[in-house]
Amino acid sequence: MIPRKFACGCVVAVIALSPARSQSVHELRVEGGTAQIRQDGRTARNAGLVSALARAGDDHFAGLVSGAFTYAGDSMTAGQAIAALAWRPSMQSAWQTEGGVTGAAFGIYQLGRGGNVSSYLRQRLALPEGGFWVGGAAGHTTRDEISSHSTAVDVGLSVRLGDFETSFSWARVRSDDIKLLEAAGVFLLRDAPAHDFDDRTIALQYQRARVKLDVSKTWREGQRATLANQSALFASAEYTFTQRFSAVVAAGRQLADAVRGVPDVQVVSAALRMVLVPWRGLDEEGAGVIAYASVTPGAEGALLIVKVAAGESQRVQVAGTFSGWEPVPLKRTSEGWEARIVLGSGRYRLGVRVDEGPWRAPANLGKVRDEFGGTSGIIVVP
Amino acid sequence: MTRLRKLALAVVLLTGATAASAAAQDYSRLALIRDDVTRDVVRGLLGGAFSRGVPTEPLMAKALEGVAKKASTTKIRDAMNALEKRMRRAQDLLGKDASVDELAAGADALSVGVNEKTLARMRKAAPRRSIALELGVLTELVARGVGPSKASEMVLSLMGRNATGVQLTALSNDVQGDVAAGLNPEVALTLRGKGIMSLLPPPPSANTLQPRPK
Repeated sequence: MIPRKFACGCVVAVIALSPARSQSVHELRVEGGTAQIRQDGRTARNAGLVSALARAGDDHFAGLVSGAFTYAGDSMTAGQAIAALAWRPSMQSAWQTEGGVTGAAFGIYQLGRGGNVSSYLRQRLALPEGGFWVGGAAGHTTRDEISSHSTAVDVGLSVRLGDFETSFSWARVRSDDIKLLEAAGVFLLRDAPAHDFDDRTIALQYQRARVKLDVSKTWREGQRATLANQSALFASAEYTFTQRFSAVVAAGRQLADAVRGVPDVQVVSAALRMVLVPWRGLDEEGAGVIAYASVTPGAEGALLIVKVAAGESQRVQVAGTFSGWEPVPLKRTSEGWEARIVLGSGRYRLGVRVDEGPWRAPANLGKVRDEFGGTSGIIVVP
Repeated sequence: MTRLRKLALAVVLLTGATAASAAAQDYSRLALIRDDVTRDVVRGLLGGAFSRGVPTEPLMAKALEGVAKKASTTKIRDAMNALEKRMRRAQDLLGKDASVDELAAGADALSVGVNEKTLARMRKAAPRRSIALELGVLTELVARGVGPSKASEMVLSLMGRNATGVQLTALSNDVQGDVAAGLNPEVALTLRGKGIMSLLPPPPSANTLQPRPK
């Protein structure tokens, strides 16, 4: 029975945890979908799921809260909530500190016998070409009135090349959640207080125009008294229909996550995502694009930083008199879309666009009519 | 031919060669316009402007902006014609020696509603140096919601006190921040302007200004 409860939590994690890695400015979205969940030796089960996510940020802070609820026909249900906060010392800083708390309840409708609370802290260097992070997490799980604790430390690096981004990470996990791990095929060779194992993950992401693909492979290897030799492949694809709607499909195996109390399962899921806010962007034409530009004067000229809050699967560009109005693609960072452009002294006009849509002036700049039915932002570099 | 005349001729030829070189550079950018009809129209407009002594670089930039924004050939032509007209007016107001940057900045200022007299006053206030940055800040302030007359008076006052380019752009950025926080643009300009004024030396007694301090 316990693995059944775990399964629901797993699907929730698939849907809700993925956006926690990035923050952008003011977004509220909902998702609804269906999933088929299977564990070794058990019949595949169907489940329905709904979730909501809200995030907001400014120059220094970005926050995220989300909630998700999963329901299966025989009343196996799970609920999960996530709150996360990221901070950086300045708008130009590539360093940022992230922290968050997650809470989950397993089987809250009828079985009502489990829950998990976890937290994490991570220091990240986020550059347009890639990044590096180091962090740690701790989780407390209660199941059938038995408590267990898990901790993890992880390091990783990512490299971005054109439309591709790849990341490598290593995590060392220690957990005394014996039931969860034994159900997942992780055993103790001898009497020991906890399981110890390493996870090595390589992930590849491809993103172009309306399509985003993610593939990850994880290898788990037992340490000390723990016997574990597992691997899991997971893939997901997102297609953006409009600025409002996108569809996400995912399939693969997820290894048990002891820190968050999530079991080892194989999942196939499909969900429809709808963005509620921004229903209209800050731009006066209501393009749904929230873009900000800042100019930091330097010894010679200035650094123009353009940031745009747009979906991960969208294609974001900036252009202006500095580029002869040739579009310059923005790069995806942990905080949204960003371009850094060195400008000499002078006056410039610029605009941003998403998915080949109309060019719009960044929200915080002075705007002038462009004689083509739109607006351009203007900046002056001393 | 005296030495002075030779020198004058050399200067004229060099100036002509530089202008021709700039125009040639703009013509080479015509290849960026893929539509044949639009390219021909833009080429014709650039040629006409060049023959009238109007800088072609801002016109080419306007054409490329129109192409990037998928504007029709007609709209691009109208926008270029309007810009050329404003630049010619700016040339009348700023003088024949005005630089390309000054003319483009002056045309921008006129497009957002700055009074023509303001351009002439700004030139008079600084007859021997470029006022492109001042015109750019003035345009930026108006684009941020400050009334053209209020913005003009403030920029002229700051020019009269030899405010630096960094101070002028900082003023504009500070106003932007205040407006974003909910302050009325003109109130923000008054407050920020006073702040900068307090850091500047008293106005010079001479009619013309000293070179702007670096």
